[in-house]
Amino acid sequence: MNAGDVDMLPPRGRKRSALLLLPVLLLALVALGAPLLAWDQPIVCRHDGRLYFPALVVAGQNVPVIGGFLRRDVPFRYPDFVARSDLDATAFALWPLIRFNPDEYTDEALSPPSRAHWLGTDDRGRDVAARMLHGSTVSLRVGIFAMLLAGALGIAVGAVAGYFGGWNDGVLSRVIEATICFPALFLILAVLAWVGRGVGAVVVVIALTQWTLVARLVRAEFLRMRGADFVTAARSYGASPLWIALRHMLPGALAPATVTLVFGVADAILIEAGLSWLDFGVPAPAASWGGMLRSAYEQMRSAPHLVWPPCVAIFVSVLACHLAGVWLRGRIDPLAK
Amino acid sequence: MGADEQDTQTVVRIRDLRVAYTGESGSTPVLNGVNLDLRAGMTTALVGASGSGKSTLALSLMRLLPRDVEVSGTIERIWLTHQANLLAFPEWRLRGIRGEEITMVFQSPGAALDPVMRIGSQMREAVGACSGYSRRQMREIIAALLADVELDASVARAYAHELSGGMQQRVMIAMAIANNPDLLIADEPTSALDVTVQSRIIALLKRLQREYGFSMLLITHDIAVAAQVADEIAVMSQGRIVECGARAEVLEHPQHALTRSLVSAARALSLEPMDKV
Amino acid sequence: MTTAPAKMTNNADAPLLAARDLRVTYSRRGGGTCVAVDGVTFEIARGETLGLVGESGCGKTSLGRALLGLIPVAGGNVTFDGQPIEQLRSTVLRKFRRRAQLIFQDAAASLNPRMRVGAIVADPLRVHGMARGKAARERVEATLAQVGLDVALINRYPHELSGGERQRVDIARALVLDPEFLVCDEPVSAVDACTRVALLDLLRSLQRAHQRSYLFITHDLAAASRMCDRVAVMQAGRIVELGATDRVLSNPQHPCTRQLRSAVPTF
Repeated sequence: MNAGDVDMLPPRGRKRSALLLLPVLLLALVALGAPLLAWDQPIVCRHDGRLYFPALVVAGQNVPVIGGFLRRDVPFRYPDFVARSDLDATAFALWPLIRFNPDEYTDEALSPPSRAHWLGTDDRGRDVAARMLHGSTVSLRVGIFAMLLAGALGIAVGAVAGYFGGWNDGVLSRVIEATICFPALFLILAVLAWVGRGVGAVVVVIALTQWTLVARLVRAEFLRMRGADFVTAARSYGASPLWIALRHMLPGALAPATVTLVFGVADAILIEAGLSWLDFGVPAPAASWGGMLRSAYEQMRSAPHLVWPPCVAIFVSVLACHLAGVWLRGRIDPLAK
Repeated sequence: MGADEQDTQTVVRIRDLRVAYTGESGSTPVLNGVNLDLRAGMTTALVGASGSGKSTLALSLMRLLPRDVEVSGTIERIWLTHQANLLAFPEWRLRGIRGEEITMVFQSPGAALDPVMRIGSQMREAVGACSGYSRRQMREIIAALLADVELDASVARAYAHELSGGMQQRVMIAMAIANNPDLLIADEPTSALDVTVQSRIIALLKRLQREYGFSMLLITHDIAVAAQVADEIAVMSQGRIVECGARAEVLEHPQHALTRSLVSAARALSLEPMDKV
Repeated sequence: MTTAPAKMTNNADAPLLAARDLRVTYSRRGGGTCVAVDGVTFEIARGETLGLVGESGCGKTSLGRALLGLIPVAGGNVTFDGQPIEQLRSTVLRKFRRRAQLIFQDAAASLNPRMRVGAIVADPLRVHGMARGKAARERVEATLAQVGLDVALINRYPHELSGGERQRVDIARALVLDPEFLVCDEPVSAVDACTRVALLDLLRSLQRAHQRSYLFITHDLAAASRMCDRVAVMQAGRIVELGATDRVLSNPQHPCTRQLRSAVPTF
């Protein structure tokens, strides 16, 4: 069949339905708005004739950049409100669905699911449902920032190796292979010793182990395009190597790299959960699914109900990221299987 | 048309063939009622610009269209004693047709040949792996086929990438004639080749047709190629055959505007024969 | 029936481009070298079209790219307007890149699939900082009109165009810098006969209007006869016959030329 006849056909790629994006959008909404769903202060309240937005401000603080400009609103917890509302007739408050702070210890440790605590409480008496919702913020943040970092590193290394080829490629390919072979546990310990524990450390660790995927992909794309006629054309009218790499080759490599990165977010969420389970991850008070799973594992006999929420949360979020990756791949390359 | 009607038996008769590709954005018609008779021992050239539906017609004859198409009309396959509509055939009965009675030569032999299989093994499959021939008989058959397309028997041991484009196309032709087909479809067989190789492949197809007596459907965008081999020329545009007739008639008295422009372009790109200069 | 445009080249003028004993070699995988161009000498005058004819694999593409300094030369030299191009550095080289352009055989491969027509044609202008914004757009539109393309195609991607339109975009990109010398590497081999005639006529009129010099690479003597003042026939890296188009077509000397001549369809 010659090319012209193929051109005549309508696009035959199975167009991915935008429905595939729904889970990841929901996940992102939950991660951004976790304090609106579970917090011990109201979303909006009037008190002493003034309006306050405590939970909304906490949610705002999760957003990068804007978060820095927001100050915590007046602390105002449920029991206080119940006590005060008797005194102040004009007071009102719109409460989140779950009126517990995910990090707050209470005396009701290891209680089974009830009307107050929908998914029960953990060994420190914290509300499991609230922790599960807030865990999505940590997971998604780690996943996205780790992949942004891995993407930047991988694209830079892959582009240099693929564009210049020769000894550059030789050296950088060995670096990539060495990274792949390097024992991940040593790397983790080294980075933790260097940066200290925290979300930042987890992001760096995941980026340092995952960038090679993108680097190899971008390198292969650049190598493939290096001999392409459109690159020869750009050389023939005097375009500089940097111009050719950035303007002619990078856009072609960026599309497959982005797909890999979206799938990579799912991997990063899994790795973060694994690290937190091993207690190398996000430090203790912060809600993280891996950490929740760890404590649930320790309390398996006395409180088996604690195992399910983090497992389901990890499964659903990994699946959501995968579906988003499938959608994106369908958009970028409609003929991919 | 054939001078002696009793000798030129029709092998395939296409009537009102319509093909439309269906997609999300509705259906796109590609063939809009094609009528064509293909006769034994004769070459019909199907000439048209890319996108005119030539290749779709070839794929319809082989029943190799993708699934998301609507097909109507008939493709009548006519044997000496009976006839049947190929479009109504179940898949299992097509196996006896495809590659046996109707065979095809593609534009890019490099893509149609398996890169990791020796030429001989691929030809063995074309002859029919379960045909009951002994190894030695098979080797002789393959050597004879290669000799027929003017290749050395040692080519059987080569891989596709070790052959030039012209040699690859000769192998494809050898495989297409292996089962003595009634109809050979050549889809742009020379478009990917050099001019000097082109003329040799065309000459080869012509000679083989004389020897084997198959009917040939030559699909090309170049009316000059058609002028070299065809008995009949059918000009196709937007899924319709706009002009069809004997070669000399079409070339010397083109009726349709498209045919006229094709002929004048081909004239512009030809040179006078050497002996006349 | 078609004859070359009979145009006298003035011998007193220095040639625009000259190749002396040019050699191009490739190193084979696993050692050894393969000689693509083996000691080729010729000149192209200003306003002249030289045809380079030969079968595929004879080294004509390598020769064309070596003339533009796109692949390393193993021996001999190329001078453009009196200057040896292998010695050109930075600013002078950029100037040469502006004056000499390349037209490709397969525009489907030579146009960046992720760029729109407008961006493709404007890219040489941006590389040389010659025009920006509105001025660039006007120049792109003028060039598209020059090659007979509808200006509305400016926002299309290459895969949305027909083969002939793509080839015209490729020509437009080469012309936008108003070069003096063009290497046309089989510019019409990938299109059908009607488009081929139209493109050849376009290339010839563009050459005439601006007195440009062409190296016209082809395997088709008929196409060469429509385009070229002189024809060089190449076989296995060497030029085996060189002469005025009429002479080569009517009285071919070398067997290779005769073979190419007899392969042209008669009609």
